[in-house]
Amino acid sequence: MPVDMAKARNAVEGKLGGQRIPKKDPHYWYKIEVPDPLMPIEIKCPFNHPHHDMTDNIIKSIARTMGITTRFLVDILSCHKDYDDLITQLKKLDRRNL
Amino acid sequence: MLAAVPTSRYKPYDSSRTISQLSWSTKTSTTEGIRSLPVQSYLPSTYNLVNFQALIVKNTRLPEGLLLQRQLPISIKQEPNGGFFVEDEIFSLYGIGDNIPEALTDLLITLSEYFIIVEESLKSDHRNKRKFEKITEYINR
Repeated sequence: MPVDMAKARNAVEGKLGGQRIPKKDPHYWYKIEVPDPLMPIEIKCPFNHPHHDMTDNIIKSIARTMGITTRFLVDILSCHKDYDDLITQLKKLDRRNL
Repeated sequence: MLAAVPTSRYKPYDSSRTISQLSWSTKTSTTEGIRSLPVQSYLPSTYNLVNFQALIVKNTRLPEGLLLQRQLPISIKQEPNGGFFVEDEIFSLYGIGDNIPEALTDLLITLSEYFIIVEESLKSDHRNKRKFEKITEYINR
């Protein structure tokens, strides 16, 4: 289910504490700090398209980059889950294919 | 020139599926004083969006002086809004655009940005070492 872009941005920057990585391009890259020994998270968010929704394809792609399921990311973006839930989930099962 | 080679056929429109969903009516109905016009035809209510796999070929140049060392499998999908979404199947990075070349170009920029971000992160944080090793299997200077 697509998520409103402004809502997604609030979740990434606020709830997850995503720090924007400065780049030349208009892309919005964020680093999300996670405790050791988890691997840091770097995600690209389409916030340079503020008038569109974040589509299912983009949500799936970001979820895979974060090592969580799409459902879990949707729950984070739509207020049901927070940073602590993310860390608990990654400690339990980090799905990143590395 | 964009170096992407399709590896599967795409079906942008499946007429056999949509014809059965067409409907015609010549009836006129009146509801609470509002007269609706006779419905004579509908555009197909559903259609298949573009969705196929492809490869970005080896030695494709990326921004920032980077080079693709191995071919990279990607999937190309059309979004319901008509835009295009291209995702690589190794790192799950994506590019978006109004058309396929634009989305592919966006993906190539994204790949080079990702390489640089992970490379720079190693200066202060060694937890990304595995990630960097995997990237350098595909991308390098």
